[in-house]
Amino acid sequence: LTLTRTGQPPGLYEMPLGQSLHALLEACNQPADDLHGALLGGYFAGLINTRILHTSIDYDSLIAIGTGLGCGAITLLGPQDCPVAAAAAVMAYFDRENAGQCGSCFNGTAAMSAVLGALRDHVAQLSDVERLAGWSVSLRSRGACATLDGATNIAASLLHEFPHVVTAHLEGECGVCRNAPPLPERPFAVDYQPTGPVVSEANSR
Amino acid sequence: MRIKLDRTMCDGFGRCALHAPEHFSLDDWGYASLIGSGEIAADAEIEVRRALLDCPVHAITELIPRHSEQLQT
Repeated sequence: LTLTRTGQPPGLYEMPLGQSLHALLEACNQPADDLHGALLGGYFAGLINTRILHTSIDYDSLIAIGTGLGCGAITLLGPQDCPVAAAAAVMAYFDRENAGQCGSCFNGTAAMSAVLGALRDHVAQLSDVERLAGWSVSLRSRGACATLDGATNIAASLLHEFPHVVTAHLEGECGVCRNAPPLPERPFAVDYQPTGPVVSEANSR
Repeated sequence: MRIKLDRTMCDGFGRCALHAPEHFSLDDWGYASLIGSGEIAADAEIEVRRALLDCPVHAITELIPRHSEQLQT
């Protein structure tokens, strides 16, 4: 697994299939109780809440709970990582970096990114989230490649796994976001190196 | 008849969904997607061929069986 986490260098871990993430983190002396969840399969398989911690990490078990291991890259969402902000940052990446070939994709990722950006900034309305929920289903498999599927996974999983955080953002009272710095252009990129001589944990993502 | 839709060619004219709504669906921006596998039943061939010929950007193509496959059947 490639494990990435805000404020810590990324690590490559070898573990047998079928163990839980909680057991791995415990074995590595890393805190697991303060996590909100994780981003699975790089940017593809979507977000999942804390139930990931005690799920067996193997392909079938993760598919069974509606997500996927994919390339084995897992980003842990720590106490400073708001799931909405993470989803908005990943969707902005899809909007910016897609190949611009299929209309459903370049329009769909732009529209979903706009809603998630507004939701992150506490200015989205319920109707925006309802449209996002519609797109997260209707746009599935409408692209020539799987980029749009990855983008819909992000949107659908955010709404499914973190409904209370989405509600908090609609009501303008997400406590995590209040003090969190914005995420970089390529959120949670493994090769991302914080710059500057002194880096506090809050600034290092 | 077998067809395929090249989504990268589609410019969202929507003529296909007008002629053969049961075989082409449009998204919120009017871009088309094929419903089903692309295998078109004989009784739907006329409307699908109309959609194919009417597409301004030639995004729909008919898949003609290759010579060797024709010989086998």
